[in-house]
Amino acid sequence: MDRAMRILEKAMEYLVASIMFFLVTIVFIQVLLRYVLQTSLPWTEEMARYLFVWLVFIATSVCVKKEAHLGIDVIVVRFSPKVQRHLYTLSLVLSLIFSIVVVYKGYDLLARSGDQISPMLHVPMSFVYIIIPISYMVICLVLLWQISRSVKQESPPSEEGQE
Amino acid sequence: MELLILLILFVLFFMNIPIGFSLGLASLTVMVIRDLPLITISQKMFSGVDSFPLLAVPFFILAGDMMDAGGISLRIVRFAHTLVGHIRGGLAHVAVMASMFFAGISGSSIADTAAVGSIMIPAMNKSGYSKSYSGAVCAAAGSVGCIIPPSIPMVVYGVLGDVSVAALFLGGAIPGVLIGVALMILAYFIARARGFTKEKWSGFGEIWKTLRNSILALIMPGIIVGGIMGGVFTATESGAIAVVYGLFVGLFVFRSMRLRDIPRVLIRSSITTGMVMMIISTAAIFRYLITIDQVPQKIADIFLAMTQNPYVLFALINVLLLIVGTFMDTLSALIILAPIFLPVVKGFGVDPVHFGVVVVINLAIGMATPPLGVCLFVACGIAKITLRQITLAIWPFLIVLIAVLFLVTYVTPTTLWLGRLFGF
Repeated sequence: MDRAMRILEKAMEYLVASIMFFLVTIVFIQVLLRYVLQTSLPWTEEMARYLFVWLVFIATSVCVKKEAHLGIDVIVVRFSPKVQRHLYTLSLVLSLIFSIVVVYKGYDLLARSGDQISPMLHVPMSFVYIIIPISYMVICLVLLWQISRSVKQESPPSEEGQE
Repeated sequence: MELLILLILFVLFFMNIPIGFSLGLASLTVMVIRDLPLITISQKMFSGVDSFPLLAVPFFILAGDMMDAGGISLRIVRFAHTLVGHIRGGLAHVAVMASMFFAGISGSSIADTAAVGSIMIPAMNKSGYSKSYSGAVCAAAGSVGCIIPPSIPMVVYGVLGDVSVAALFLGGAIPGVLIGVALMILAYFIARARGFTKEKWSGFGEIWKTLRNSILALIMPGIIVGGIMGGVFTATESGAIAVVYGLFVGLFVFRSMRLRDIPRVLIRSSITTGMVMMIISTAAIFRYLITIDQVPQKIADIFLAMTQNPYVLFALINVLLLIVGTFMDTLSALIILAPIFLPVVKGFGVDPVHFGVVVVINLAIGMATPPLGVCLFVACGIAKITLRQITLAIWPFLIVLIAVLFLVTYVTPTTLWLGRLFGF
């Protein structure tokens, strides 16, 4: 299980890195076309926006795996280690509840979009929305894994956000 | 009842639930109680980040990471050294000056503190400055990172408050320089009081040499700001250009970066992006709820009951933000508080650009304020000292920073004059 999690994390890291690369390329080309060739492609801005949404949601799940999301620990650190561990488990469970709702309602959004087509690229909007349930599904899996580790009284995984 | 959401939010925050999840959970709870359709959650999370202007955030993060990986910080420090190294207490001035230059490349105070601190703190130690003083100088100087343009918090504020990002960037320039100058004056007096030595003036030849070595990095803010002002490109596009420029200079001109370093930098920047943008996505649900509940109006009423005077109001908000900034990350605080306070101050006739710059300065100071200041942590990590040690050394700097904050707050031309000059 731990191994599977590591592979998943690596895969997502390379995915976000590639999206980031494409984003820079697309926006740079947009400027280049405007000034060098005096033309513009109608779809660059829309494509950049949708790729950005994908980047945000996938990067969010990478951060959950790395426990890199920002929190406020000024109060919690004053409690005993035992209370801290229980609070940690509780915070994972609460995060899981929210993530389940997002998966469910993200799927709703996808289902409701029907055969709606994006204005410029003419891709189905469902193709853009699908990243919401998918990424939060991954987040649910990661949180379940973290909860099971925490309940088994292992110390919380201490990999830091930045390498 | 309307303020219930804020109460739930605070409870979740203090349970150390990540800020992004806390915002989502508090909104979810209120929506269930009020029986609002939950599909709004996924809609708002999507629309909150589906924005071309916000794309500037990952670009400026990446540009900063790219410049640092390309060894540009070292060249900037050398140039700053030839300029101000000969003043009494020289290395502190070098740290401040280098932070100001680096701020013109990066849009974040953390990146600024890390880039300049990792070079200057060890160098200052070697020359006999105490670890806590070196750390404090770099943490305080790093605050200009998000005040001198470009600035990530200003992009976020501009998008959330529908304020021109270009006008905000211009607004940050003068206050950023003021902070730098004020910190250098303080460093001079500390140096005199403690009898720090002077170094020899290195001469114009040396300045010219180091300038040539770093000029390609130093003109970067000019390209960004000039390009946005001249209407050549948008803030987002300028971010992409900064990345490509940094990559080109790092790979082919300075040759300090290799192709295989790139994936690592891209992953690192993506993760930072995820940390910031998740909060923006769930904060969109929260913003929607506080807007339909007219929370800003209610907060405004509370303030109105206390004062009718915009100056007093501004002082109250400043103090509140300073307190929030000590225990909460700058961007998160900005994302949550700006939509609440902006309508309040607008009602008092305060210019949204001026307010934005003041809020960003305020929260940047929070990053260097104990107990929770990210820049302090970064500086402590580099200097290998405890938070307690740096706390003792940082307070004179904090007093100066807060003095400049109030000066900027009450002298509006500091933030608006440059913008007016360029027609904003």
